[in-house]
Amino acid sequence: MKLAALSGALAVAAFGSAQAKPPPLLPPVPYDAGPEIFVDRLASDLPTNRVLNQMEIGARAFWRADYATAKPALDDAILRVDSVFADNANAAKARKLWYDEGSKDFKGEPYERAMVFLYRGLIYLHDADYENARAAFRRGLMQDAFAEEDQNRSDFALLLFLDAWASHLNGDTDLRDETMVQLKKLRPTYGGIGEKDDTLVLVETGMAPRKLGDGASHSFFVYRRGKPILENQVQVMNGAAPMQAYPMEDIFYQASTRGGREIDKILAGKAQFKATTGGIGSFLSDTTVALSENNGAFSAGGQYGDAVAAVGVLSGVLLIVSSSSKPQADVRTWSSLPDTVHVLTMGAGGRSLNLTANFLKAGVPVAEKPVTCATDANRKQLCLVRAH
Amino acid sequence: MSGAADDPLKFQAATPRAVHAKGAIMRIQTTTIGLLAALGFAAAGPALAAPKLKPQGSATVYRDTTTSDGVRGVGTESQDIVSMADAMFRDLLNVPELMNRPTPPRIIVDPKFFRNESSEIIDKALITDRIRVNLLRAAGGRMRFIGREYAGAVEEERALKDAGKVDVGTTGRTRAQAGADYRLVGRIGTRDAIDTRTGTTSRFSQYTFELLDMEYGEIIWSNLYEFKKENRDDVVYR
Repeated sequence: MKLAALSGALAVAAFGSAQAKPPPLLPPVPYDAGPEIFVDRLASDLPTNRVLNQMEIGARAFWRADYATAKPALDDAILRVDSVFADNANAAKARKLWYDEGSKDFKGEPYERAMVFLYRGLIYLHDADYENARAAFRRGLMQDAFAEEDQNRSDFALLLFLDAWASHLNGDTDLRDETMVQLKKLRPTYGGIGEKDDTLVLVETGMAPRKLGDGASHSFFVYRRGKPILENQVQVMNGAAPMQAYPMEDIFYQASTRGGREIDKILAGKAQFKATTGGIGSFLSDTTVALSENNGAFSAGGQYGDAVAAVGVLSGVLLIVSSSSKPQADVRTWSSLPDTVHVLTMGAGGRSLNLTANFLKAGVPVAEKPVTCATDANRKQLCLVRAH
Repeated sequence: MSGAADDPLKFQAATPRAVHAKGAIMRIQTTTIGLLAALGFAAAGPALAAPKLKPQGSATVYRDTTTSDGVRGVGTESQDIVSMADAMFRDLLNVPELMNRPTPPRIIVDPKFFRNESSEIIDKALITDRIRVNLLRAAGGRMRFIGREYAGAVEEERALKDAGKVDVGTTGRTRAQAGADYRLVGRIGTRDAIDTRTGTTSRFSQYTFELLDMEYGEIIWSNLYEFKKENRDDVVYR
């Protein structure tokens, strides 16, 4: 009777938890689509996906030069990325056996969090607010930082470069030079920012890194480079003169070289539990059937029938418990990020530019696109183009 | 117990002997109770997978800025802006060069030379506006404030008066806009630290306020406002 009661309690817990379904996977959105679909999703999707949807809106609106839409989306994402939700129920769920990691409020992995600040910083640059642009880039660097011998380090060279560029535009040459010293350690082949440079050309190529579930019950994920990668070099044409853009950041590298997460240990524990309970349940189930079929004493009407029946119930409960445990890692991904970001700075002296980007793969031209330049209140230019 | 729970194969190797032996009921009950206990440990396993690290997030808390630097922190909030602006304007009311002059000094208080070198995304005017407004209201005419950021608007109106398109108003004309004796300048600096393993971040923020003599370049007043905050995010985000 005690065994039956315990089994019943466990079954109720497992059945109840089985209602905790993982968030539905929404269909992928084309890479070059605008923010509209995600604006709709913001209203209809789960609240736990709010930051993800805001990230998508922010980046996609940014590349449409729809800054009025991009700004509040990125600000909202930043607010939530930065917030610590003490005793957050969804975070607590994600730690529990019956919920997968995807039940937590999405904040993104460090490279995704860093990119939120990057796009927000670029909009501050566009608005000629260089100090807040620099602050945003520095906050992005902190998302990617890791403690090492009591020092905080980040290898996100693109954010360092943009930090230096914002200081350069603001006339803070001392701060620019300090940051360039750090950047040189990461990108020794980068030529630097010219004293008279007033124009930044920022080019994105390739597709966003992908997260693929792997391991037992997909209890962790691995990163794969976005595909297809049709280009890996960029030449910016100003009239007939080609200028090579510098590949400042490999976003896939940033995503995939960060090392293990603390949550991975919890997910591994869940996967192990799932395997253990599933194994025991299967074994007890097989044994119960074998005893009932082969030995009269162990059959339902036999001497030990009740005990065997109880074990049978327990085996069923264990199988339910096993199937209800959810060790899956969170593979929600910011899909509109690039694979690589290239930069080029030049001095335009306030003149409007007519630039074209030539995209190359292994030195062979594969595509060409016009570059969109915007001049700010201080006659500095921000020129943008992405391959896809 | 926990060791057995870690390895399902150990259970499978041990239980067949118990089922097939004489007096199997007792052993079945013993085994199943053991299994349930093991289940309990296994269920607790995930939560215990990260020993010594607190899984729960914690609310942001203020810390004494004189304590040694941990690895935590967050940014400037409205109450910081209110507190620092109020502290600065009260201190400025005690500066002899400002309060004891027979002719009230002219001061510019705007964000233009209040330099943000920090990782704090902030509207600097929130601070300087609050200082100016409170100072103006509390000074009782003993200080005058120059609206240099509105110089364009003043110039536009003066041009209209010069052109005779509008009259001179009721206060008469002056040869030029007012020059300033002093200007509020300063700097925002932060020191950030993060430990991604424990999920803790910290930020030390320092706001420096100074009053610059606009003729001689002397700094006649300085003050600091500083704070340090730290927080720890939930383990699921580490």
